[in-house]
Amino acid sequence: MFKKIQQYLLLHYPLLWNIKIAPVFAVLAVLHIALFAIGYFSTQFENLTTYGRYNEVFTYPLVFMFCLIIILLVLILWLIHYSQNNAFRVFYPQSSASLYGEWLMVLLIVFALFALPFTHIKGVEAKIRTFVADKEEVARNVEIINQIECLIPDYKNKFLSSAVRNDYFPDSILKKNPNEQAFASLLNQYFESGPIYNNLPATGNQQTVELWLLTEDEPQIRSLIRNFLLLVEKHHLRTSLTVDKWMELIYNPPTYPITDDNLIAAYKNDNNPNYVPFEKLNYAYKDIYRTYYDTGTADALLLILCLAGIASLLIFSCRYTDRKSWLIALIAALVLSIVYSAFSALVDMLSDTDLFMLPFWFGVFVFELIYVIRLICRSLSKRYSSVMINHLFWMLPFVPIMLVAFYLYVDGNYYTTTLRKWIDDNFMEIIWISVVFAFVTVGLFIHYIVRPWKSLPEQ
Amino acid sequence: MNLFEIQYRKSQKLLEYENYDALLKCIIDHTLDTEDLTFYRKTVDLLDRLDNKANAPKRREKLTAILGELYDCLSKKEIKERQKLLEVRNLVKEYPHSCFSLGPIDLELWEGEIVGLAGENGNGKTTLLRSLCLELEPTDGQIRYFFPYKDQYDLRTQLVYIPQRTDNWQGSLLDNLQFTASSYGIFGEENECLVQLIIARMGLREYRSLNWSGLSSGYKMRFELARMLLRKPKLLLIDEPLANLDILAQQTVLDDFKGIAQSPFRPLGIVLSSQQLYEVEKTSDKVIFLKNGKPKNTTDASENPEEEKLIIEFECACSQDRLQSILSTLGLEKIQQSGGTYIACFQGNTTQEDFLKIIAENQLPLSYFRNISHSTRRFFL
Repeated sequence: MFKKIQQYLLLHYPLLWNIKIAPVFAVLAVLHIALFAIGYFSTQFENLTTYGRYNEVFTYPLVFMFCLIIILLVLILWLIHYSQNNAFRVFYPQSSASLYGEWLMVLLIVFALFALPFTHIKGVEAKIRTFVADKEEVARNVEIINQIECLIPDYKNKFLSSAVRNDYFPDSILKKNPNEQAFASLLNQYFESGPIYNNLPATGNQQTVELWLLTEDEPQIRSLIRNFLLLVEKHHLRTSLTVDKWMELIYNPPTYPITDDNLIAAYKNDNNPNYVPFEKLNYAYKDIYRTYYDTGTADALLLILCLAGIASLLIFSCRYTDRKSWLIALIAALVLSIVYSAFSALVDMLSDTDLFMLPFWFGVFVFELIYVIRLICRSLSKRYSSVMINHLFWMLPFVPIMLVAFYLYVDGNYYTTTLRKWIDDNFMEIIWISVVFAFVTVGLFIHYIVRPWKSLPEQ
Repeated sequence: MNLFEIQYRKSQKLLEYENYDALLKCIIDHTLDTEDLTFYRKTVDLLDRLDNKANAPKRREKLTAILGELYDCLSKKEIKERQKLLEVRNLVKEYPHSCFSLGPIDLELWEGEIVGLAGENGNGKTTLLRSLCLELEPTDGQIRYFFPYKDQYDLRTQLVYIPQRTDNWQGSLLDNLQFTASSYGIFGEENECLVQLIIARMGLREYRSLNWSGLSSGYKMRFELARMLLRKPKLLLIDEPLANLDILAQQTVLDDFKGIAQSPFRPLGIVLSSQQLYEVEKTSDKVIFLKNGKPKNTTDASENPEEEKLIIEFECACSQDRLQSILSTLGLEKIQQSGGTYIACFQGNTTQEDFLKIIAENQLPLSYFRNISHSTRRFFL
């Protein structure tokens, strides 16, 4: 079948045939399905009593090493086949649009290749979702787990926050303990739980529980404990507490003190007869919650797109120049960076003047661009431009940030910390601007620079 | 009688003499001239049938039939006037770190013309070819192309330069040619048929599925020519096409050049360089001899230049002394021997008939003879 498809593409769409789109997408489809399946079936999430991989399923190093090897292998094999024919290099008719289309296809293939680990994670997530299929139920249960943490004094220090909330405690209590910076109380706790539940609705947060404690709203607190114990029961986990026993241990208004006698362990252990399986549920639901509500998917895809974009520029520049120039360009870029770093360090030592890398590369970009445009306008021979045109193509996505760095430098405000802060504050904006900028400028660069440059005499 | 009719007559003669291989080539050329898929299909079908030896007895009928159909079609087709393709004025090319320089060269090339470049190694033949295909930037002078092109890249797509050592390619011969055709906008069935025709035209039919390493040097050159035909260039620049070819293959390739260049409906200009002087001279309309980068003389092979001396190249199993004494009666100026071959230079009033007469009279054992009075071979002396 592939042979027929390839033959059809050869006779009708030479670009698609040459880029080996059918076999490479077939291989990628198989790999994506396989990695999804590996992620799905290797995740043991049938029973919370055995669930113990916690967050490891998302960062399992062996799987990622495997993905890396697969990516490299497929990339090399594909590049070998892709480099067999090069219509542009041998001056077959190629419009700027078809060259741009070719770059987009390279980007698409590399993106699909780099997304293999992402698919694996999606396989893991799909399996985790099967455990609690209802998204609303996950949100409800997470709310319970999030709130119940306030009522599990598993160790005393957690309830000795340095940020003593004087408002919560009557003067009489504070006066009793004048030397203590903090008072061990349910009302004075520091939570370690990460930002994973941060986007819960306001009613589900821990401040609500604190309010119930302050207002001594016993029915709400009892209801919360009951719901949690129902969740424990639903997942066939074990606890040594009942609602009444729990209330007896912790519900001591108005100060809700924590002592060694009313600690509740967050997991079963031999040191404390009072325990609840909070940790197990918490970790499991963190994973489940992430699969439903994590907003990092778009960021992950954007990161993959950026990496694929850089790789596609490297691959495509090698197509329209040649391997030798490409390698020289790479080495020249490294040597320039090292020499400039050494030079700037020397200048800094001798004259206390700061020289910076990004403005330097912006200068290199402008110089190389002017040099190449001059050659094109005057129809001169390529000379050293086959190296420069590689640099220019690689630097295209970084032009916005180089422009900002250059502007700050010229403005006298350029310091590493300033730029870093600016980048930190506007990171996603920079990435998006760079992506959009790259998509537009690659097209323009191909039309106005690459194609005319290619037709220049070699010597 | 126009050019097509002359070629058609030639095809008829080939049929008459039952030279079917040569006739098939002519039929393919005529088919390509039609630029019509219906004819492509018919000729490809004919080629497939002729592959089957069982159809051999009916071969003549089939060839006659298709030749007739092609005549009906092409005799109505307009033959355009030959256009000038290229004009070179005072072209000079110098290299930065070399004492060699090419030129100044003046040259004109018209559709259907073949220009041969002759000269020893390192005298600028390749430099001139690379300059003409815009691979090298001229140091001085001007090259003008008279066919339409949109931009510089488009111009370079119409100038096909085949270097002496061609790049290797991957995949099968057929795939590569189909890729070339589809890259030039020839799709689907037309692509398949056209590639089959050109493969057959270049004698590559048996080698369709072979890859680069499976082909001999001669067939690699034929592959390059096949690829070039699919590219339909205005100008073909080819460096040492005869190197590594046996004598038969040289003749075939040169015939192909002539056939390709002088197509009535798809003419192109060819500039080729070669060390095979006599073969090039036989094929080319003009020959440029380059010596140290300078054109020593540009000779129109069809015309007689102002040449007075008779120069004969010959092989004879006699001593130089004996030859000297016999030939001196004909006004011999000098005689040289090089590699078993003699070159004798006579005064202007001596003719080659005089030379042959004296050889016959003295019963000299002559094994080879060529009049090189107008050949660039004389510049090698």
